[in-house]
Order: sequence, then structure tokens, then C-alpha cells
Amino acid sequence: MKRLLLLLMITIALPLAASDNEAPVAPEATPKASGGANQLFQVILLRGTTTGNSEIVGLPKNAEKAIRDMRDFLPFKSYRLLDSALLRVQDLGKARLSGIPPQQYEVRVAYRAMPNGKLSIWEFKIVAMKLPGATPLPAGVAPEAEHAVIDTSFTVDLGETIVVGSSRLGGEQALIVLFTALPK
Amino acid sequence: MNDQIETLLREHDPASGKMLTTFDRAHILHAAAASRGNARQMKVMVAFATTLLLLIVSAFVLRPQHHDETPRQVQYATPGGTRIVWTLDPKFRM
Repeated sequence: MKRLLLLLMITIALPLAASDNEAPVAPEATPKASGGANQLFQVILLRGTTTGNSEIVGLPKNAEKAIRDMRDFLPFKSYRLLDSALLRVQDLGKARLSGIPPQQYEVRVAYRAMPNGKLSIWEFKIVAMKLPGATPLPAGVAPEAEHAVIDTSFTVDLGETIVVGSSRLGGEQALIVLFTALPK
Repeated sequence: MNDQIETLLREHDPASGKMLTTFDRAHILHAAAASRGNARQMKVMVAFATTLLLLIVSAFVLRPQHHDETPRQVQYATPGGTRIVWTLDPKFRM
């Protein structure tokens, strides 16, 4: 009888012991999309206009090649620097840039490193910030929603400068961003 | 010359010497009346078709225009290698 009880206990205990051993390992923390690394981006905000003198005003040297390349493709004569920023991003980042006063823009960048060494900028937004009104809104009137002047995505190599812009078709002015993924 | 032509025409007139009977006359008049009716019907049909065509063309020309307000995006690379990502936005403002 004792042997039978012992056999029964072993029969019950073995699967339990086995299931203890095979307990699922706690999942690892979800890896950061960018591998947790920081990436530095240079963002240069320009205003292009079809009127005025043919000029490039206030641009840093590393942006001049991009401007030279794109001048033949875009109808704008004048390119004026509005603002620039260095953006250190870990997955997501944003910075405030000044446009034509008093307009301000927020640049939002989200990226992840790709296996081929490129960076996938899966979100690139330039949002026109709502200007504070001189008079408060009347009761029941909702403030104007923010609108993205540019909302796109692309891939970029380290050291590469991408020209991201927006305008009307045949418009006289454009908002242009020179976006560079700075090499480490 | 003219006299000769007239003589020749009279000599070779296929109806020369034939008499038009009352029956033939009635038949010819009936056919002529029917022909006039057909012509009038044809004119009405042409007028109707023209009006219909004009209506169709007017409806096509004056149809409401649906302007596409959606931003469009183009991506291209310059010969120098610089890539451009451009948004054409009908509502763009700085």
C-alpha cells in the first residue's frame, strides 16, 4: 500500500516538477527601436521664395551642397535661413524652431536603425505652433487644431542631407528643411 | 445650238407619247405628300438629337469641379545625389 502511495505521489509530483523547470522565462524588456542609442540630427529651416534676388543667406557650409543640388530642381531664387537646431534623438525627439516672426515650428523626429545601416525616419513632422491670441477665445469656441506643414517619412544614411520641403503647386514660397543625420 | 439640244431632248424623252393617267397622278401626289411628311419627321428628329447633344455637352462642361485638396508627396534625387522629399499642399501656408 505504501509503495502504491509512493508511486502515486511520484506520478503527481513529476509533472509538477517538470512544469516548474519549464516555466516560461520572463520576457525581456522590449528593445528600443533605435537600440537605445542616441543619434544626432541637424535640422536647418529655410524659406524659399520665387521673388527677390537670387541668393543663399546664412547657410552653414555643410548645407551648401544640398542647396546647390536642389536649386536646379526647385523654382525658388532666394533661400534664407530661418533657424537651425541640433537634435539628439533616442527613438523620438522634438525641437522648437523659429519661422518668420512670430511663427514658430516644432520639428518632431522618430527614427530606428535598420539592419543595412540606414536610419528609418518613420516620423518627420514640422508642426506650425499655434500663436497665442491677443484676445481670449469666447466661451464654447475651440482653439484651432495644430496642423503639420510637413508630415512624411523616409530613410537616410549617416552623413546624408535630405531636403524636405512643402509648398503649393506653383506657390511663391516654400518651407524647406535640410535634415542631416550626423555621423557618430 | 440650243435648238439642237431641245430637239435631242425631245427625241429621247422616255415619257414622250405617254399619257399620265388619273391613277398615276394620284399615286405620284400621294408619294410626294408622304415624302414631305418624312422630311418633317426627319427635321424634328435632327432638332431633338441636336438639343439632346447640347444638353449632354452643357452638363459635361458645367459639371461641378471637385478640386483635390489632398497634399501630394514626391520624392526624387538630384544628379548630385541629394534626395528631395517634397509635399505639394494646396492649403500650404508658412
